[in-house]
Amino acid sequence: MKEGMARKASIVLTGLVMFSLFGCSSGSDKTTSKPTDASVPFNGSYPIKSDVTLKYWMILHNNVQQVAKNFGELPLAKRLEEKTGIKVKYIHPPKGQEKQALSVLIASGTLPDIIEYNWWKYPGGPNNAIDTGVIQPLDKLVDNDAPNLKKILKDRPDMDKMVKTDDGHYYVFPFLRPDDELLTTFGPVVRKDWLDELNIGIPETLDDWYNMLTAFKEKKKATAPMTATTKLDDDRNTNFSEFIKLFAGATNSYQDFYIDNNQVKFGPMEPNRKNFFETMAKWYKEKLIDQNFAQTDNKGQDSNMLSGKSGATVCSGGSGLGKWLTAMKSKDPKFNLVPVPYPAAKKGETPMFGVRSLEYSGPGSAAISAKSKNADIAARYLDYMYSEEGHMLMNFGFENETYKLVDNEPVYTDFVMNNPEKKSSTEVMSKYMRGHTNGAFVQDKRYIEQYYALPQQKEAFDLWAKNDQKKYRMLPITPNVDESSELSTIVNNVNSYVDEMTIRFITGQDPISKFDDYVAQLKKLKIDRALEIYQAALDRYNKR
Amino acid sequence: MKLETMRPETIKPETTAKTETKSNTRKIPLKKRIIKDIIKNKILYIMVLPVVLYYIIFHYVPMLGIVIAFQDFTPGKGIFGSNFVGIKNFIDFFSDPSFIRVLKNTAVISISTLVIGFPAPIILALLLNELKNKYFARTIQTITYMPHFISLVVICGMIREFTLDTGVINQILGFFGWEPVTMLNKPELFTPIYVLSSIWQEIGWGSIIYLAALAGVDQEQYEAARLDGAGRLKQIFHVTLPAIMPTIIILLILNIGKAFSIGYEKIILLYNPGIYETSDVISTLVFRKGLEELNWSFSAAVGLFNSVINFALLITANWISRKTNETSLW
Amino acid sequence: MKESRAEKVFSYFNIGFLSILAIVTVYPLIYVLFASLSDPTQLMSHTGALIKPLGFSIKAYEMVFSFPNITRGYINTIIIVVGGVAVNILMTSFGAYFLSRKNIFIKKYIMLGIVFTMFFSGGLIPLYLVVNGIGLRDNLLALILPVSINTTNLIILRTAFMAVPESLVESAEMDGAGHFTLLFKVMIPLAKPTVATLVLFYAVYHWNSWFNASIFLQNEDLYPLQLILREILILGNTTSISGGVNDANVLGVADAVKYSVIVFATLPILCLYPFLQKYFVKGVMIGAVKG
Repeated sequence: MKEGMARKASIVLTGLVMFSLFGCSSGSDKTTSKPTDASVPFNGSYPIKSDVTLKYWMILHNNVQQVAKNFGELPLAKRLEEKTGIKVKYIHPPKGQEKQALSVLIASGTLPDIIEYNWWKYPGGPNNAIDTGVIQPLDKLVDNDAPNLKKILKDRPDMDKMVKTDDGHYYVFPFLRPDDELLTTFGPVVRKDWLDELNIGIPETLDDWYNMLTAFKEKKKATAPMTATTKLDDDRNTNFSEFIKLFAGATNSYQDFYIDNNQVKFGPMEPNRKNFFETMAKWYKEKLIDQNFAQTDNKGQDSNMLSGKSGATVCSGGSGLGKWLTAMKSKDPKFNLVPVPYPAAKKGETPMFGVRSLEYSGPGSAAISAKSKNADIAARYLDYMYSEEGHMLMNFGFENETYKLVDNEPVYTDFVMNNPEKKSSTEVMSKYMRGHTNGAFVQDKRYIEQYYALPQQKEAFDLWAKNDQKKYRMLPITPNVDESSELSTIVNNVNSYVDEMTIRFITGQDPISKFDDYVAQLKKLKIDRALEIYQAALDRYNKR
Repeated sequence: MKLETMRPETIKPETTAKTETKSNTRKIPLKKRIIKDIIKNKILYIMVLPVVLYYIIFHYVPMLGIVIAFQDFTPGKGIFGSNFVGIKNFIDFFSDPSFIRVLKNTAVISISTLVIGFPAPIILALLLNELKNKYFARTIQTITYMPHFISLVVICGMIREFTLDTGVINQILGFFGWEPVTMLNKPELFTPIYVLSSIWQEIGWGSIIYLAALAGVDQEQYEAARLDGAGRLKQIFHVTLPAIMPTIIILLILNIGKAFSIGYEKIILLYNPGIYETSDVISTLVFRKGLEELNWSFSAAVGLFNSVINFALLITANWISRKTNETSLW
Repeated sequence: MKESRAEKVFSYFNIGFLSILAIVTVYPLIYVLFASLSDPTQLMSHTGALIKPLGFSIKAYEMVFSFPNITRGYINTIIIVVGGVAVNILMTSFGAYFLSRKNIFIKKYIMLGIVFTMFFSGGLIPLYLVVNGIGLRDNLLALILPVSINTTNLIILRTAFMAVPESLVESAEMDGAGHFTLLFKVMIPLAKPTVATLVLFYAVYHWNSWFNASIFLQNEDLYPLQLILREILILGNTTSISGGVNDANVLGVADAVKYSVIVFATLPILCLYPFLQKYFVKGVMIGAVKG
């Protein structure tokens, strides 16, 4: 009887669960977006009269989380509700659990109306998210309900291409960064006070770097003349040392896939990579490179740079350059860092590669769930961020409170820049705008021009942009749904093999003479097939 | 696990129960016997009912999810809507270029952990037990159990710093003529670092359960042993160890059953691609391939593979234990 | 009784060895404590061992305290620990008692079925569907009921119960004790050190766990302390304390925050063990029960 009861109970429960599962999966089968054509095209006037409360799933940005536990508590959210006339309930996943939380929501069929996420990270890509009935294609909604976004994309066909799937569907209200200034925020920096003291000029070529680092080592007793972090790279999911990016241009050898003259290439297997390994192995042996580079984290980089163990590194303008300069301002007035251009092979040449993000790179982009009953309202709400007024609100906050118009240009007020309550600018901005974070809007370069306040930070952009990265960058091309799992398997295997061998070559665990074996192994891992898939995707992209 | 030394015959209740059961089953049909048993022990069954319900609701019902190991699961389609792909996920795993390597590394690390890591807390417990000054003993106990509470991120950060070429460990070894080296760049040092640091962090915590067992050992036994002229070492081997043996055996069986599931958390905080050769294990491979991209099906398949191996190990260990010293999980 | 020379040597060796072990194992804790009290900027440029705080600053603690929701998190965690441990101990002793009885026909199968669950599970999504299906989402019970029993602990307790002398059980039964009386008046008192250990194990488990909360709860007001602290940790690691203007006052505090979070999260639960230690005293219980 006991076992029988148990069995019965389990049958009942199984039924219950199956019911709920079927319930959700049958629900998501009806993927057809709710027709909005019944309503007249939206004329773009706010506030909208609606008693709907939208549910908005959003990863709360780190900066915002320090001032509020829910986006809805911010003055910005209240202003948005006022302006658009639409009530919104925000749902946030716990930090570090974003992917898990979203998957569980999707699998259980309890998706909110709007989901702000990096849809490239969805298994199989945005195409697959549409196919499996998670989000809806937005073509009709963009046409009818999002006049502002439509206009922006019409003016920038290059971005328009990026925000569509392979088959030409819109799928998100994207986070866009239309200006180069916003895309070039990472590059080399060196100790200017050391250069002056040793009477060395700004390094431009690979040889300059070699001489500079040798001088740092011998004359300044730097134990790790050049350092850089190694961390789990967002896109590669492996440990990847950033200094490798620094010398890509100087050796014409890129660390990843790139596009050369409409042809997709894989840098780590190009012949030039051998020179790169050779040079780096030599430098490592001579102790010009941080001997611990394979495990230096942010903390390690900080302490290397601040304690004089290192005189050069690669970092971002804010969390590296800006942070260190501010930290040392009071402690050591001589301490000075300057950004320098990516080194070239020969003097006067422009390096092929540097680091530059894409205008649309995925994160912070708002999709509308396939089952949302309020798709049209959601689209209208989101489109507000792309209007003149919404744009200013998102980037600069409240007029006359956080910014003033001076000669028609927005200038942050002292409330932001020199807060009377001694709050940091980041803290204040987080309450009134999203410009310094990300989300479904267009970022304005006038924000970063003011936000990066130090002269060295302001200089950085021009110097770090002196390379042809833009010409060779990989575009947001998407493989077919059926190719995508094959591709990701290959790329995963290839990347972890490349990472392993890169470190082994540089640290001398394997001699450079093994380079041919290494290329052969890459071929065995089917790198050619990956290139083929990417090439086909690129050709389709160009035809969009 | 206490008091058994007082009446040694009570250590093996399992065996007696089993033989009885067997002889009874032959006489009476199964169903009748169950019903008879339930009527006889009504209260006992009421007591166990919530336990059984718990296991059904929160373990057996969700266990249906194992099917995703045989699917190409996409969250959008759900468990019952995703396509079945047979054993493709398993084949993907077995045909992965580093499959052999991760299998080997997993075995090496788990066996080292078991061989060195399992006895360590027992030895600590025995040494603590030998201390005369109880305040000293308590202090040491409390101190050694503390590192268990420090998050892995911090512990691993410390391990990384201490093993740098300029780190503390190299400095100490330098006195003995050791050439300073970034230890985590050396493939051959990874397993020792991993195992020893685990012991460093968990030895005190692990010893608690044995200390609890030791607390139950009957003091008269020692008295008797002393009268027989047994020294302290002899007492340990003839009184203390036998007394806590059932606990040791049960925990050993359970540990063997966990042997193949080395978590990825600690390893990804310590390794770097340069030492994949010895540090890449099944779970880190899955982490790189599956978890980060939420490839649920692949992870589930590997998880199932791991479970089957672990379960087989447990059953074997249990069987050996039953044959040799008659302690058994069931 | 006289100790032989060898025994004396052993004693000294033992004391020395354990002292060294204690120093080595306590070091991480001291490191964390010193780091949390250090001046953030100095800490940022430091590598290697710490033998005293670098400078002195409680800025990191102030930051942790000023984080939204932290008090609420403490209260939630206390509710979960107290409620959870009560459920755990009750359920585990029911199970362990049943499994430690003799002559129960289906015991073996139940045991196998229970051990089986240690190895095979359906993963996160089905569990979420069950929890959601029985209406526990956004409810603190979702952090208690699905983890009512830890199978390892169940087995440990069963081993302890099985070691209780049969004579004691029999004499209690003669006096007319039922199963509940046997469990609460004989078994649990006799297995006190083990029960105390399990209280510790379960309490520490509930105190430290955050994963289920991150999946089963959407309402930030229900978050347990560890989930909030974890968020602070991750924030500390990734926040671009961002080199924007006027960020100097939060500069580099991230690292110190990381350590103060640990002190914050660890101290209360560390105090539990010394308190439970009194149940570990040798041989007290025997007399108590016999008499």
